Order: sequence, then structure tokens, then C-alpha cells
Amino acid sequence: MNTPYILASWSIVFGVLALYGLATVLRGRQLARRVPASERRWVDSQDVGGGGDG
Amino acid sequence: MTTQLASGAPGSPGLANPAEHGGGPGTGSRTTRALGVAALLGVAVFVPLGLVLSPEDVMQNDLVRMFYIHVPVAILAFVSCLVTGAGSFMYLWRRQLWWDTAACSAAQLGAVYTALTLVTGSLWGRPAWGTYWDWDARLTSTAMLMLLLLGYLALRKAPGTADSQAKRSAIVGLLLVPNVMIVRQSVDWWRSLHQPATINLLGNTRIGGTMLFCFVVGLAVMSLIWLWLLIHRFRVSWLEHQIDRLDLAGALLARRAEGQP
Repeated sequence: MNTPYILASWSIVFGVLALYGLATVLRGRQLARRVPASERRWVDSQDVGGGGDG
Repeated sequence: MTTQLASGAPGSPGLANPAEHGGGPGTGSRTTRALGVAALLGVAVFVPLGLVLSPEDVMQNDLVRMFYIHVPVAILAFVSCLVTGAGSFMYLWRRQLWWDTAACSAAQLGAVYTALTLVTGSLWGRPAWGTYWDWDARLTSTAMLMLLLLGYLALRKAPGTADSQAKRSAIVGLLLVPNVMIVRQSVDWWRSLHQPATINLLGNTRIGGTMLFCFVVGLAVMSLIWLWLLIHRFRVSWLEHQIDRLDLAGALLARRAEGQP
């Protein structure tokens, strides 16, 4: 009865947030290549030269 | 009036070589990884809880499942606006770009969450009220909040120095706070198609039991996602500022080198 509206709402929310998160992480990776690790205060020492986002 | 982003002196030019600086983990860190894992586990619990296990409401029937997603999204839209307002105030007071970066990051999330609030609200309105949209006080004030957020973000693209851009947008950022209050109170101040607040920390809360539990789980999970997004978005904005600063320093060094014999 109301299932299409409910599923649409939940799918849109999680879908949009997932896409926005992915776009942000990819943009961050792209920009990080141009900035020294010393200027990225959040970088752990073992992360330099590898590692993933999350 | 000077602005301050980082304490260190500008770095050397020639930043296009990734190998020089390491591939790096982008905007990720231990904290964001832990937050990301917690959020994914939370989603794995929240989805079956909200969509399958929650009982139906006496009045709303299965539409109560819209409540679990729409209300946390709306609350986080308001929180984003309040963070933007606080960051804007701190920027105007301290003139540190850190605060402007925080305000801008929260405003971006605010725009995403406000848009999701409007969409999920419309999808709830169709079966509940028989219409996707009505020029009702709550809906209209939320749409105005969305326009103000878009105006804030558009103003950041206007030409000018980093300081003038930040100052202009901070003034708009401050306006978000009274707008959030208007949206919050609109159902009490005016006759509205929208139902009054279901969750009230200072008064009667209209739901209980399993439904309240589902809502609290939903709010916690959505808050984790919001925090994860905010940290990543803040770091992206920080990197953009750093690149602008380093590019400028490189251009100045190149100009000086040209002038030397």
C-alpha cells in the first residue's frame, strides 16, 4: 500500500548519502596528491605512501 | 585584518608530483575508518529494524517507517545549519579560516540534508495528506532554509579574496540560525498541515516502546554518517585552501626567480 513511498524514501536517503560520501572521498584523494603529508594533520605516519580511506 | 589557516610557512612549489608527497590516504584517518565501520554496522541493524521489525502505528500504520528516516535527516539538517552559524560567528570573531572551513563544510551537508528532508517529507505527504506539496508553514519555511543554504554556497563562488569570501558567507551563515528556529517553531506558531513535534526533549514525547527505540537507533546511525561526512568534507575544504596557498607561494617564487639575473 504505502511500501513504494517508504522504500523510495529510504533508498533516496542512503543512495544520496553514499554517492555524496564517495564523491567527497575521491575528491579528497585527488587533492591529497598535491599536498605534502606534513600539511595533512590527520595523516598517521604509517599511512604515508599507502592506505585507504574510510 | 589578516586571516590564518595554518601556522607553518608556505611550502615549496612544484606540488604536482604525487610521488614527492606520497600517494597518501586522502582524507581518511583512523578516526574516520572507525566511524565508517560503526556507521556501516549501524545501517545493517537500522534497516531491518526500521523496515521490518518495527510494529505499525495505530494512526499512521506502516507510514511510521517514514518517521525513522525523515525525522533524523531533518534534525541533522538543523544541526548542520547551527554548526554553520557557530562557525560563521567564530570566524567573524577570530578571523581564522579554520572556522570558515568548518562553517562551509557544515553548510554543504546542510544543503544535502535539507534537500533530503524536503524529498522524504513530500514522499510522506502524498500518502498521508494526499499531496506531495502544500504551501504550509513548515514546508515553506524549510524550502526557504534550503534557498538560504544555496545562497550561502553560491556566495562562496563569488570573486574576491579568501577573507572577503569568508566574511560575506559568514554573515549569511549567521542568518541560518534564526531560520532554523522559525522552521522548528512553525508548527506551533501557525496552523499547519504538518503534525506537531513528535519528539520533544522538554515536553511530551508522543511515541514510546519499540518505535522510540527504532527512532533512537536511526538517529544514532544517521548521526554517525553525518559526522563521517563532515570530517571528510572539512578535510577536502582544508586541502583546497592548502593548494591555493601553495600555488600562490609557488607563483611568487617563480616571479622572484624571473627578476634575478
